[in-house]
Amino acid sequence: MADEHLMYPRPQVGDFPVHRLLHDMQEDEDLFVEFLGDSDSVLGRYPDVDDEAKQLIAQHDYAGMQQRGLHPIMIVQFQRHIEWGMRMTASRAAATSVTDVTS
Amino acid sequence: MTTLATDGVRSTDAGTKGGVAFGFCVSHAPQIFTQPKEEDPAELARMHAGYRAVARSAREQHVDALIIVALDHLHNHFLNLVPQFTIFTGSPVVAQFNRRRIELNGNPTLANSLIDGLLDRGFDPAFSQNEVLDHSFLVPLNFMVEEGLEAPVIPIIVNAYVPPQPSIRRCYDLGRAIASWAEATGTRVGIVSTGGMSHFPGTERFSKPDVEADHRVLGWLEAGDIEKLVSMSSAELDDIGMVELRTWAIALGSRGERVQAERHSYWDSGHCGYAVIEF
Repeated sequence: MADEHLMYPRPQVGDFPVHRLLHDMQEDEDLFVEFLGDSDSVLGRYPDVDDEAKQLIAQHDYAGMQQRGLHPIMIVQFQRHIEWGMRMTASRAAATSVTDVTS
Repeated sequence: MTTLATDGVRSTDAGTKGGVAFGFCVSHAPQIFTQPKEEDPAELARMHAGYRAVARSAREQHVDALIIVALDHLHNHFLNLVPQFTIFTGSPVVAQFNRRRIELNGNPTLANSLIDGLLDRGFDPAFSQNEVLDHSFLVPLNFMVEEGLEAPVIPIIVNAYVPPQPSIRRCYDLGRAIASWAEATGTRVGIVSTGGMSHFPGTERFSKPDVEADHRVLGWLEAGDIEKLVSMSSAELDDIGMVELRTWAIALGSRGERVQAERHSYWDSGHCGYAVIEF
């Protein structure tokens, strides 16, 4: 692919299930906490994710995830969540109350 | 015509009802909000002051709305759908990061008018009525809210990180279209774009931002040579860690063809160039 040399290359279609797993943990704090306590249980619910990717994620192998070609933003937000306890969750934080609210 | 008010707030074409009354570009790194001990408190305070200046400008310029242009770090716009430009048309505008959540008034009528205006001008933005915006919005908005920002907010979300992204010239042209819409509808807005400067989150170059590129780009903008920035290819932006400067191009474009930026602050944090510019 023409942009494979980029720092932020086009995500590989074959890695969609891996990115989905990372995204689920990024956006679902309960799932993330469960992963910290029992990674095998969470990873076992993602049969489409290959064993190599599961091992990288279970071992918090950020460099390995980079070498695998996973999206850097997904990696760094996983890393921030793990290493700094930084909650990167946004999309499932439910903006459901559609009312006029002034901060 | 640009003038400086007594409180330092720049005023442009203050007598004109419709148009883009002011523009800012600011960084939005999470650390500016979380303020880890490794970062210089004085430099972080300068960033916070820059954010607050945006809120003051909105108040002084009596804008109908503040357009804030930022991105989505693969939260709402995950790989199942990646729009290049998204206008948020809902209300409230909600942003959240790291246990901080803010809600501001949106303006669905104006946001929808903006979409119509962009469609008339050759752009086809997506829209969203309900999503929680990420730290690229929360970090600057947090300090604007503290400063008393009251104007409704219209968020624009740009695809910065998932190739293929829009060209930076396309972003600049979007800014021109926003200005055209504002002038045609008599809508008075301010605009602030968040992102940059050079940084490489999630890569082996994380601790090596291209500081020389930061100074080069700032020099262009201070000299009014916007063309040098918007002539850059997507690969060039990627190579110098400035994929997020697409947001800047939108704000710059909205302020006309002869924009000359004033630098409020710049600091090399070691992982990202933090900057605030006004124009």
